[in-house]
Amino acid sequence: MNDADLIARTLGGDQAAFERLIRRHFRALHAVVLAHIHDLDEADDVCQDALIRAWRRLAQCRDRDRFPAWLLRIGRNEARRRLAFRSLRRWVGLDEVTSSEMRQGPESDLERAEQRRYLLHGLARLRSRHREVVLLFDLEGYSHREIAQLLRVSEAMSRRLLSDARRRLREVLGDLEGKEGDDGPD
Amino acid sequence: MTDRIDFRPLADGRREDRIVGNAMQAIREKALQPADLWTGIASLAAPALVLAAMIVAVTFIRGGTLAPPTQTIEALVRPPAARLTGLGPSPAPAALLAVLEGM
Repeated sequence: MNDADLIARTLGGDQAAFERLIRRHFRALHAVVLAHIHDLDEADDVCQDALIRAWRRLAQCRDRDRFPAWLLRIGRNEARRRLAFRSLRRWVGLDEVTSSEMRQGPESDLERAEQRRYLLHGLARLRSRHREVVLLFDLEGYSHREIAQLLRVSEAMSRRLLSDARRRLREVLGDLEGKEGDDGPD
Repeated sequence: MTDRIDFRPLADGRREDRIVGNAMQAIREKALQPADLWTGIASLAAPALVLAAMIVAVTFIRGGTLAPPTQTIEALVRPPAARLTGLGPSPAPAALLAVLEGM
């Protein structure tokens, strides 16, 4: 059953059809949201909000064969809304920065948390389009053909963006590693 | 591919089940809400109607004969010259002047 069929069934009141639809594209949504949010816990919340918004507005999805691109657009908009809200909260001093890596508990998770922090900081230095491509390809395993459809770019552009993103990310991660090494004890 | 960046620390095998599960639960709850929504609107509408009726009643009374407009009071107190120029003595000296002129 293709996306258009699942959308039609969802609009007919079949919630299970919607669940099948969003599971099909969830990993892409998460990668794109994470590319904008840089915090795993917050990205999870934004994804959930985006899925609910997609359900509410599903009737407005005119080109049903391009549902994934439509869903990713909702994800990006939700992420931007969250970023604006976050900056407002910081501005009025309602909360401190609460990133997921700061809430890691057991020591066994510390190394993994450190790796997460390292990767997220590196990603934050890339352009959003580069982040989206590198996360879709390297984290979620999408092909260039699929990325091209999701992001509405050519396959050649997807390859180029991936190559640039990897090169830039390695540079940034190298810089971060160097700085952390300088800060450490002799 | 050897060139691949290792993003495994960001991966979480249970993420999809958790987030999709939460979203579907929220959707199921929201899907039951339209009846509650209309109940909420009705409960808000009743006090709003009472308030609107009160506003209309007060406006009608103030505009009617029960309370004369303030301009009429001012016209009664101020002497004609002051009314023309918009300046002139305050009401108390004006009243005093009127009494003196009559003497």
